[in-house]
Amino acid sequence: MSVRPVTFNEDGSIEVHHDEFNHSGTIPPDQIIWRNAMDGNPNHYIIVLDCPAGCDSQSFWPVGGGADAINGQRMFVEKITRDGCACGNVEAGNDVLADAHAHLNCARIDGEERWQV
Amino acid sequence: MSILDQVEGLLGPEAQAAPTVFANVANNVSGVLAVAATATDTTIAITPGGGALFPNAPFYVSCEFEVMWCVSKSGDSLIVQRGMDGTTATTHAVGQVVEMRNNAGLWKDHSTAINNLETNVANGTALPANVAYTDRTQELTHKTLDLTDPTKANVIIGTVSPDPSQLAYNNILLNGGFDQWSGPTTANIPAGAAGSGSKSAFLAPYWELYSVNDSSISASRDTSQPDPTNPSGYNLLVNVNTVQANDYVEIQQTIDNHRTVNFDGVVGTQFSISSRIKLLTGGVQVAFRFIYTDGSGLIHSDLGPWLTITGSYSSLKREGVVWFPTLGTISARLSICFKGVGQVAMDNAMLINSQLASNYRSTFPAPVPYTPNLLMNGGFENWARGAGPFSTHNVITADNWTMLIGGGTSVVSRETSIVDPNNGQYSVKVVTAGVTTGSFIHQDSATAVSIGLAYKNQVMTFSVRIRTTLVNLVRAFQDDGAGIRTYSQYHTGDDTWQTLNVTVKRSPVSTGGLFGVKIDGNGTTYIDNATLTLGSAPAPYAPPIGYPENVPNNRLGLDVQRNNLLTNGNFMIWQRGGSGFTGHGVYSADRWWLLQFNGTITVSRDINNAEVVGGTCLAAVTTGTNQIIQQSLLDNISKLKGKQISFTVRLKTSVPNSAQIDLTDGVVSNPSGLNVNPGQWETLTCSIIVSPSAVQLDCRILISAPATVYVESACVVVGSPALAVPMHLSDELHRCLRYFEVIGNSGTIPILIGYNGASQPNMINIPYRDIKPVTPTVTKNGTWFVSNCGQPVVNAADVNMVVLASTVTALGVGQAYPTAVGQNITIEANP
Repeated sequence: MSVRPVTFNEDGSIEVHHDEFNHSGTIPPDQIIWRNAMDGNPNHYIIVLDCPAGCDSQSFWPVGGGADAINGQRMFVEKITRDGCACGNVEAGNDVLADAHAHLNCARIDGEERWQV
Repeated sequence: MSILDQVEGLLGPEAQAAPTVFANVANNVSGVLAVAATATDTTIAITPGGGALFPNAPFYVSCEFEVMWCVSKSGDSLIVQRGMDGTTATTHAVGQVVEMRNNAGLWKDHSTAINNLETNVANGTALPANVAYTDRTQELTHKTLDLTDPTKANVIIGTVSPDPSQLAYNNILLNGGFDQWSGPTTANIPAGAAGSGSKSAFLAPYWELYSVNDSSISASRDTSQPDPTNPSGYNLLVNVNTVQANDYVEIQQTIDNHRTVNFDGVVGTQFSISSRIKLLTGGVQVAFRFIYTDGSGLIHSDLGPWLTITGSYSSLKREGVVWFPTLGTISARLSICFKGVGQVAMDNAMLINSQLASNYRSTFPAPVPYTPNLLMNGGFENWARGAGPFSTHNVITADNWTMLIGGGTSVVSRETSIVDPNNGQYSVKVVTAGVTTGSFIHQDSATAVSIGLAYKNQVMTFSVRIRTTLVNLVRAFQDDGAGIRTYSQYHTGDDTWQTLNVTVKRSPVSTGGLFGVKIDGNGTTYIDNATLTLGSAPAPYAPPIGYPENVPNNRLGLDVQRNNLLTNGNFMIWQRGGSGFTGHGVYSADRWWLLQFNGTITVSRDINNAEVVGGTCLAAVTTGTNQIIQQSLLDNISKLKGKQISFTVRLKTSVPNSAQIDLTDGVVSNPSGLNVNPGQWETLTCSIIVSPSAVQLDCRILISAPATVYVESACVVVGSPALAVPMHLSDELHRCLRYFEVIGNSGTIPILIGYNGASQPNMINIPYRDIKPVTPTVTKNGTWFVSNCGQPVVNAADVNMVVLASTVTALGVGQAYPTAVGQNITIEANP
């Protein structure tokens, strides 16, 4: 039961559905954010989605996809393509690199077999 | 030469123990002794010129009262034996007369010889040893009787001891005396159309009738015409009616390479067949045909001469046939052929590996080795997926039998009325329409592959009973496992049960291969009682009498626990709640995911409609035409590749043909049949072999019409289908927690509390109750109570635990905790 991506719009926003409270909404691209690590720097393994319906719910999505491998992993590829990676090693605008980078990070935490995009 | 000499000369020297030497004679022979002879002299000297008067030796010669035997003559000297013919040798003076007289020996020699001849003729010693007396036993030693010249019409008169007919030959034919019968005691092949081809019918164990075109043959068990040479048991009455000049009907037996003769071991040797036959009515001829199939599949036929059948039992035979000229024969048949119109009685057929035929003698064949039916569900008695109808391509219909549709439609169902009378209560009914490339019913691939790998290079026979009205459009087939398919003859389409057999030698590199029935036309076909056995003789179907070493799932008792690969197959765990689950991509009961396409699907937990009182089922209400409830088995996929898995559910709905289940691995899928019993709980099953290249593995409940569907007891097992047995609730929950768990939700816990400076984070590590398969999505739900801090957020998470953090507002104690249902932490990881 998470705030989960359902549809990826061309403008970078995501239509999401929150299963727990059964409501939906749209998250604009600037609110699809990296989670900060303990040192305060952005953590490229985690994207946080705040429920747009205002229920104070927040889902922590790992690069491996978590509850939904395909949509979760795609979310990371879209984010890196649009904004570049939080680690600074991949710049925005290159979807091939973005895919490869997200794939690599996925393999690091969940193994090579996890990647499904 | 005297008459007696002539007779003795004809007899030959062997006939005479001591051949008689008769004296030469002459008339008026007289000479004078020239030199005195003592009593012991053996040379008698005659005056010059006297010797020439005497004939050539031997002869009798007398002087005074003495008779001498002259053995040789030299000039005027006679060489003699003295004192012969009962006289005494004495001296003789010069001038005594030496002459030939009519002495007693002349007569006695002849009479003695005649007497001896009479005696030897009487005692059988007079004739040469190579002449046999016809009225007495002739002892032959190291003699050769040449009977091969047919123009001599050689006949052995009387009995021969030991009687060759009593020699213990093993009859290669089984049931040669027609004394074994199973089931019906008559068989009939009625006349067909002029060009209708060959037809066959089962007659008695090991025997089949064959007919062709517009000929007919029938045969029945009988006791009214016993063969007087062996009257025990039964005989056969055969009615023959052949029409076309070159046609004949037959009674055939397939020879088994394993049980009665070894083909390769008798290459080049001769075989002989004999059968006792008697004409009852009309006019019928018989011939014997030796048939074999060589290693390349070519059929060879050797039909012998036509023999006349008379009105009394006689042994009709064919002898000295070289049946197997080369190595590699894979099958053989012996055929007793008839032509004409009439009725015959037949019995006691004897086939031996010998130059000459033998009379029938009841022999017990070698014990038949156990030849099990290698097919699963060969009798088509097991239908775990229901009675059908099944109309989908590549689905299992009767257990272990798959249907393939080659164009058009093909519908398979369980039949209870038109069933092979030989055995069982069910057959398979196949209705085909619009067939283009043929429809198949074959043993399922998993079984076929295992057989193909286990029996490389073996001769195997597939036999099946078929009934249809499709003429020359239905036949059996068997693959050799290396790409070659062999077909049986066609069913003649006379709407009777016929046995179709096909024998194949499996390839030495066999990797599987199928066997089954192919239907090339449109209509109805019934299939029953199939066997697959080692050897070249088809085996009649018999129900299995025991369990195999490896007991498949469907033979386990219902109280035997099975390893269900599903999580929450009994729909007992609903961590997300009990109702209101709707929409695409929504999880309902733990691990069961909804896919919504045309219309809507709403799922809830139901305890009122469960099949087992007090149990739990899943209730799905659908609109539209295509909704799916599915569970992914991706977590186990690496261990399942190459294995057969089966998915089973219990399902009830009031709408027939609205629901089915399916297994798919992204490469193959295999849906079950549709539900057929509205309002009744029924079992749906399906199976696949997981592809080596599979990247997904989903079991799905497909609902194709607006309906309310109840589902429970879902089970996925390795192997054949099995019904789910409820697991302990703790075990089910533990499995579910691996993928989804909720922390909190009952108020006040977890509590995130700590004393800290302003803008500093309070943190808490919360371990999961079960390790997750992958890094999960962690969600903090709802607005928690907070004091001197912000809302908690997920700071970090892995497969073991989550770290919550809350930023303190001002120096002091900050605390955050949930206070109502819906305020919680959910952890979700879906492989």
